[in-house]
Amino acid sequence: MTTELVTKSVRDNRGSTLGWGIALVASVALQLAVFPAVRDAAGEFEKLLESYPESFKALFNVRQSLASGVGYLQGEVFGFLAPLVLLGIAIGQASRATAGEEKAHTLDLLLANPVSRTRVLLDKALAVLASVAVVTVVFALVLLVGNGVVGLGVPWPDMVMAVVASAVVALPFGALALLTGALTGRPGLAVAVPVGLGLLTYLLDALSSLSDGLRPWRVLSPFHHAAVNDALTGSPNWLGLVGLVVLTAAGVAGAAVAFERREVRA
Amino acid sequence: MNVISTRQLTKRYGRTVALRNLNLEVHAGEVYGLLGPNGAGKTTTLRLLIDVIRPTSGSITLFGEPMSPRLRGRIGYLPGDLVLYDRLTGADYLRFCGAMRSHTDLGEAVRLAKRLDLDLDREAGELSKGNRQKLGIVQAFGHRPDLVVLDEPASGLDPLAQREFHAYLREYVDGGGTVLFSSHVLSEVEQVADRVGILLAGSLVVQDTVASLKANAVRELTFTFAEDVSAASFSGIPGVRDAVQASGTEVRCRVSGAVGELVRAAARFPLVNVTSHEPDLEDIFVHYTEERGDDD
Repeated sequence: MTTELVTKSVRDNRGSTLGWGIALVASVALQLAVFPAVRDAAGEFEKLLESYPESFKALFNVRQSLASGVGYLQGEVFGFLAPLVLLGIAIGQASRATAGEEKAHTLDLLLANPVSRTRVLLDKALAVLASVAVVTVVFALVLLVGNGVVGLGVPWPDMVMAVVASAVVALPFGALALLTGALTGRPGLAVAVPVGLGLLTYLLDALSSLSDGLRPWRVLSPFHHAAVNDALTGSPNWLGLVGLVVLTAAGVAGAAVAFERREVRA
Repeated sequence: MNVISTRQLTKRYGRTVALRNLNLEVHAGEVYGLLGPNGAGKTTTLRLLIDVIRPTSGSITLFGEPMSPRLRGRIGYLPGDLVLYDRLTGADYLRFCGAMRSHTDLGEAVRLAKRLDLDLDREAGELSKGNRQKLGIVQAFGHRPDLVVLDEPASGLDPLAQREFHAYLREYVDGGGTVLFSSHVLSEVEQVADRVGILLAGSLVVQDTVASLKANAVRELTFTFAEDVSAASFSGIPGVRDAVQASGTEVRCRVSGAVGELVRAAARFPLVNVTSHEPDLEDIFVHYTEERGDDD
């Protein structure tokens, strides 16, 4: 590890980490603040939700009654908000890791230093991981505090596991951004590819509960293997989470190979 | 010893040949100037040496070894398209480079910055083009490398800074360093280089010392006679490339190599005056450019 490069990359990503982090904390805090009101008006909400099409509910992860803590968190926090922010951080920062420097024309000088390209890439990947980790910890803390304050009634280990699963599902998409950037040197493409694939696999997982035709395909979705909903109800998919970590490692290794061979554009 | 040695180095982009069979040798302790117009392949050559791009064929050795991360610690580099991290001050940037290169002593860098009159407390994004270039130069020499590779180093520098930089280059080489730099400014190469390579359309057309290039260069001799003399009397003399009738009594000849034959021939007429124009690299450069043009 080159401490200086990791530190500098973390500092370069500070704005993105802070922006996404604040957005997440503020949104989660807001969602939690209105939970008591939702719970008290549960009857009305149930009626409203019954009128929604099943596909809509599946899309926004409305699986249980919003009046229960678990159901509320699934629908309002883990369904859409958490993956959006954590994928946003991982993809945004990983896409800029090497491709951003190449586009900015600062890569020539960086690579002229006596460190291997693999080292440069791994240090930058580590900086992205650090950002994801920081936001994950803050996210967990806000939920744990909120859990106590508004009485969601979710056991804290389940809460923590759901947060961890939300973070782990973001990692392979970050690795894909890193790989695309290392292959092409284009930060725009390094955002577009994982975002596109993220959307596709998110929908695949969300809608597979509605369609028998889609169900076999959901094994292709990282969101299926992360199984955040199951983690929140006390049965995390350990194998799936380990699989996602292995997939991430493979993606980063592929990015290192691609980056070693990359012809840096002048 | 050769600090840089390339064998048949070739770089193609699709069907475009950016560099063709380059055999470049830069000796320890010399300043080597790579001269050529824009697009001749100078930047491609330097970026191949630094290993940010890879050759299509051919090989490169530096200090007798293939490039490696360890070797990069002995090399300083200034890219032609210099972009620094805008939000870092000069001092921050040098500290970053120092840490990356495991050379935390900034003494040399600070000394050079002072000589070039560069303020290290300002952010790179606030610096003028000339001052950014100074910072680029300072980082290239800051870790006391054994070899520096500089792409158009003087571009953007004011004349005073340029002079100081050239003086520093000389001291650096006298202290055992080796320099390879590119330029399209002939006067610069002539001033600081020990040897010159001229690169045209991806090929090294000549490689020699500045002194020897000049000795073999085409020079212009103007003869003034007491009576009318035809220019035709001088064509066909060995070394004479062309003879032009400037006026009835004046003939202008361009000659390469020794001028003895031509002068002997002129002396057969009532010769009043001879003026000779000392060739500079520009003449040499133009000569090779024209020659290439003739081939095409």
